[in-house]
Amino acid sequence: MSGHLLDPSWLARLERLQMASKRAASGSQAGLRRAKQLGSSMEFADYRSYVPGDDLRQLDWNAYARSGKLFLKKYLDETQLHVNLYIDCSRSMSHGHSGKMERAVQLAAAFGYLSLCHLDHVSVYAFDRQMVSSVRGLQGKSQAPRLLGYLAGLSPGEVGDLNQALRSPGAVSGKAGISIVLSDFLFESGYDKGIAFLQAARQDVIMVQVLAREELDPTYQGELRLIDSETQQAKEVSLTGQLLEEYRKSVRQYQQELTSFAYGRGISFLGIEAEQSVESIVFQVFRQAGIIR
Amino acid sequence: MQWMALGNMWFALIIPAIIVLYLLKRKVEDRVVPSTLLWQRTLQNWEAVRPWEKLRRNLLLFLQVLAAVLLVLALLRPAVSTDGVTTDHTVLVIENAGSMQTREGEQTRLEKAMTAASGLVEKLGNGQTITLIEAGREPKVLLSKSSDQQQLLEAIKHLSPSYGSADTGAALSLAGAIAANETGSGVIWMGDGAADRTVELNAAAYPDHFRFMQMGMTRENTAIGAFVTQTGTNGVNGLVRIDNHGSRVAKGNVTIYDQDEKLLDTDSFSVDPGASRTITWDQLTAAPVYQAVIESQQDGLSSDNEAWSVPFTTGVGKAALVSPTGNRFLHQALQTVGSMEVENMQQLPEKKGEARDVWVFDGVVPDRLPDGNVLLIAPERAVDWLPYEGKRELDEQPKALTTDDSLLRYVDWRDVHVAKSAVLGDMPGMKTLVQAGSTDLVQAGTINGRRVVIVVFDLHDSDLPLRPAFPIFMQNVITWLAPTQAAPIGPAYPGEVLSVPLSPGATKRMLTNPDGQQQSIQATGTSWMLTVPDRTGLYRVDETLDSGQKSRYFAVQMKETESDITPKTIRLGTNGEAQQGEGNQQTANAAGSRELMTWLAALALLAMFVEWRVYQRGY
Repeated sequence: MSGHLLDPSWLARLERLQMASKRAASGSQAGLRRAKQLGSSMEFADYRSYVPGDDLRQLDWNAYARSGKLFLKKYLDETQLHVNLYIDCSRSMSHGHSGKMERAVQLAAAFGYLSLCHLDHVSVYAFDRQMVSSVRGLQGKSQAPRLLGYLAGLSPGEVGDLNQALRSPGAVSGKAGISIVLSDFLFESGYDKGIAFLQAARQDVIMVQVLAREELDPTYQGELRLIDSETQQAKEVSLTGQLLEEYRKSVRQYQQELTSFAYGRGISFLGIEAEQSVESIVFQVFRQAGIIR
Repeated sequence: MQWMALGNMWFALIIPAIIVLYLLKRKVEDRVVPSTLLWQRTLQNWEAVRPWEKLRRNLLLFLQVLAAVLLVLALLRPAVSTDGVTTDHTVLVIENAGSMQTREGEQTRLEKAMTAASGLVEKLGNGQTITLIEAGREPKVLLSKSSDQQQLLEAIKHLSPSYGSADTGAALSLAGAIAANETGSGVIWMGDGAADRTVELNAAAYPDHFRFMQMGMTRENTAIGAFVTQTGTNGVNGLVRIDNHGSRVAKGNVTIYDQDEKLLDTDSFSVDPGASRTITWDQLTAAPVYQAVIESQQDGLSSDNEAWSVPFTTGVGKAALVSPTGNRFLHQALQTVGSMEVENMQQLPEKKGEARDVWVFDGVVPDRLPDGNVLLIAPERAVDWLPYEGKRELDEQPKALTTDDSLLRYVDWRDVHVAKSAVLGDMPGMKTLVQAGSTDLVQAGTINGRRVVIVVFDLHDSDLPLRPAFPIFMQNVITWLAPTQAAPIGPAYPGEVLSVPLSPGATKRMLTNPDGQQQSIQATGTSWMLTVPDRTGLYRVDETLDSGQKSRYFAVQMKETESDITPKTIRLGTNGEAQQGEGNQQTANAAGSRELMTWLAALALLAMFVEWRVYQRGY
């Protein structure tokens, strides 16, 4: 599976992208991210007058030549970003041939890889009703095989519960950063508390809802007993055109609900279709949404 | 609502069968979906907005069951009694008989029928016509094919209650004939069916649209079945028979009054349902007429609660025997007859006025016929009312021409010989009873309104007086000539013709109706034909005679059969042969209802069509 996780042909394109963080990162280790502190990067920030004791290497000799005054050139520091990827492994994600989980894993691989290329800290968490597994603190391109290997090894889990999983111990790194939640957000118990918990841990949350076309626009007919893949609850429906219309309305309504929840909390929300190709999701959907640039 | 074919109820088994089939057929496909969360939300919204959606799942089943129910209902052939005229031309028959005067609550049955008929007329549609028939003693067409509502209402309003009996059969055939002449005709019969229970018409000859509208409901009625009084040795004996036609025990009082409504006696009675009871009195105070009135707790018909009776008296008539030569045989025979007071005369009295019930002329022919009936024996001259043609010797044996005439009853002419006889010419109104050869010996008939018997031969020229036939013959003759004496005016029924015997010699005769109205009787002779008015009660005939005023009473009462007011339905075509198919149809129509079968079948078809569409559209 690892071979298909990311297509080598567009890895190069992926490397040029980076996660767009709304807040400037303030880390202690050097990275490729512009940090809040002034530092040693190549990026110019400001001039200031020399005071004795300053590092002479930072003097702008050209300015001295022109003006005869000593100026210090200030550069922005570059630091690392903590990127946390949360993958929903619950059964509803993995059921059938919808490929929701597959798509989520591929997206996680893409995000993880481009973050590694920018020397960001990448941690990946898999959860169903609790944390199933995680890989933490990956940094540098050299860790990419480990990331992809871990992702390839993910297996479908049990009943999902986002609230409980995200609030379980060890689910949040404690460092401020970006958290991307890849899920279908179809949880019996809701999602708001878990997301709020993430936000409280100084995470810049991005909610990505992966839904299959079967869910968005079902083509069932006749008398059906719909069985929930997780809870095994059955619901008898006789599908008519009107009922399907009503269902599509409910789906839109649910997405609307998620969007307004996200908007109210300053969270980015994206709904994607599992049937779309990873490439188009990354280069079109996410770039348009301003999540990566 | 009635069911014409309740036997088809077992077709209803198809409904559980459909349900069972549906349960067997119904298969639900299991499908695992990632999550039913959204479905749950959808269904919640859906069912909140459209509560019937749950039912809708079984829409097809409902439609199938509905179609089946409708079909079964159609098989049961329900019918509702319709109001309003349904045919283009309607023969509306309103029964008007005594039983129709029964009170049903506020109204009598006739008034109810009139109201119903007015209702039908008011609902008359454009182009619909009505022929109005009153089924009384004889059916009467009041209006023919009229669409003028005003006129029809007027005619209905002017129906007056009749106390006679209705000739249902005649009215039915008349209505049927009128309806058969016009296509699209129907007959609506409003009545209680009580008048004639044996109506059986050929159903095929009758229009399909026969509707019987029952006007009667109550059946409780107590009536005086008979009231008879007779003069006995010590006072007048009375007998009242009380009939209870109802279904409950009738209790009440019976009271006897005289002609001035003076109470004579009273008694209480209790009659079992369907039974009769007789109450007798003796030693009633003498009165020319008695009235019996019953007051019963439950009584539908009031006009049969009164009855009148004229005591049967053996009155003695007056006879005059005019015989110049004297006739011992004749005198003796008249005495023997007994009911006559015989006065012997040598010749006809000069002065007029002395009235006799019977005049017997022996060998004398008066110039003019006196008042009263006449027995003429051995005429010897011609006058203007008697064509006398001389005398003739006879060889032949006398022979009676008829045997059923009341004058010749029990009279044996075989041993009678007549030697000599007068010969008379033809007289209109006279009938020959006995002949010898071609010579008429005894003639009887009416001349100038008088009853006349002529014995052509002299009794002395014959051995008739010596034969046993003679007193019998005389008895017959006197009874026929003097009917007023023995019999009072017989009982009469409304609407029928009554022969009122008149006293000879009265100068003025008056008939007084029960309501006091008087009517003078213009009649000559000894009897008067009266068409009895449609009103029950006591009638009085007053005659002014030379000897004074003479009053006789007669009562007009309802027929006994009319007292049985139990409502009955007139059914046509139930005479056995047409039990299948057509016959049922006839019976259904006879009940006065309209079948809903076609409508139900059409609805079932519609339900099936809807079902098909639903199935096709896949709701």
